[in-house]
Amino acid sequence: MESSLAQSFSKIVGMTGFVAMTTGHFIMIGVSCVLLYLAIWKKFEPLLLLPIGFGCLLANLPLSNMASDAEGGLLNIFYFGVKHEVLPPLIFLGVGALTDFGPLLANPSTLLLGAAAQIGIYSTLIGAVFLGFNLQEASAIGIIGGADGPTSIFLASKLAPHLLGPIAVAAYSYMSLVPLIQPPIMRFFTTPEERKIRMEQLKPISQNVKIVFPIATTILCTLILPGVAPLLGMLMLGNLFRESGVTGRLHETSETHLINIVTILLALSVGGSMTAESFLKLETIKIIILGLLAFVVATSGGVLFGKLMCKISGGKVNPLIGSAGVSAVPMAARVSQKVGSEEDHNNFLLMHAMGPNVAGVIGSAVAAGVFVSLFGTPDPVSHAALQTASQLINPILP
Amino acid sequence: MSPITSSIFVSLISLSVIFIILTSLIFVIKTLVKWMPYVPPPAKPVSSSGNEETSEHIAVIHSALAHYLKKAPNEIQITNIRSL
Repeated sequence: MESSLAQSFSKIVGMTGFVAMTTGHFIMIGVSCVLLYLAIWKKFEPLLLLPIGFGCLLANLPLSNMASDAEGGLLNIFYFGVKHEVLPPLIFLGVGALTDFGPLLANPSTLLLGAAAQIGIYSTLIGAVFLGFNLQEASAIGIIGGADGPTSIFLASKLAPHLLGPIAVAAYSYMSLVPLIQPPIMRFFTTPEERKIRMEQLKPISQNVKIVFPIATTILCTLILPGVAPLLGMLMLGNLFRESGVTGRLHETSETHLINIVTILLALSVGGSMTAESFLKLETIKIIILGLLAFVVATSGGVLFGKLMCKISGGKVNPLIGSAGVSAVPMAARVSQKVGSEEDHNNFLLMHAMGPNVAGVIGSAVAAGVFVSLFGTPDPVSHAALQTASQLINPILP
Repeated sequence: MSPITSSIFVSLISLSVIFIILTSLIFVIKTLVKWMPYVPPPAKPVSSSGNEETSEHIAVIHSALAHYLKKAPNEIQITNIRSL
């Protein structure tokens, strides 16, 4: 009896998490606590960093079997939604339902600002290759410059799933730091006179244009770049729910309950992928540094292109709205408004900045589609189409 | 081709594709706006059989306008009210 009590006791002690605790677990629990601190007390993207931090905590408590890569673990089941590209497109559905494309439709040339800001993605891609990542990994890291969390997760899960945790954390951390990162860059590249430029009031847009735009965009973009369909298609569907006026219940669900539920699942899955083995690597530090570079170059690219548009338009465009081309809706647009109002309290740039901001969402989804087309695994139909295209193009471009 | 050179080529091609697609979208939007121009909703005429609240609003506007124009209320006739 005495012996079996001792055995039972030692068995219970042996089964506690303390025994299996490693230094890696300690560090990762510390990382999760930092994320929780940033989310709760510093209010940095709390809707995302809190579940990511808690997912990371659960995944790193030894023997809990909660990590995203643990067979049968709860977070592993949630992770199926990331692995099979279900959750990021559903987030885009909600974003589409929440977003008014009106400012973009009223001033379509701001789409170019959304394109220009994507330069951050490509400078980071080159930097990542320089630091030793392969092209697939570099593309997944580069998309951090799109300042779009779901797109980063979508592409990382497709091209570099082993880097998902660090990429997601870098993307969301820097997105939350947009109000700190962008203003100094915006002030550096613009003069006080440029920041004071007042833009003309946006023209009203007919409801029919707002309805037809998502349909036309989906057809055009998906035909040019089929890889963009999951993200852009869902974004446009969500917007069609909003603008059609005949799907009130679907619109309401997409912009509230659905996006909230999917955010919980997505963020927990990402947190669950942050195990000591996958996160405590030199690559993580490189990704964090490259992520910052991506945001800095993207903001600079947007502002500089804004200056170019300002010159071409004869001073009608305030270059500050260019920084909103990095996506991060609507925070980047708010930053443009804030920096503009510092120079002139009566200058209202918010609605003007929403145009490039929405263009940034479309631009980063298109950038992801380009990477999927270049580096994704082709299915049999596209493989056959690729062979046909090669046969046609090779004689022209030997 | 070295990886750096490949990454530069990939970047240039990708950025070009983004600009081409977004420029195409600009033309799509301009075409849509041209085809389906914004038509402001027609102003609703003020009806004498309106409800009590509308009549009260008209009376207030009437009085304020008369005071502003320094005219007697019976010299002014409101025929149309549009929200700005």
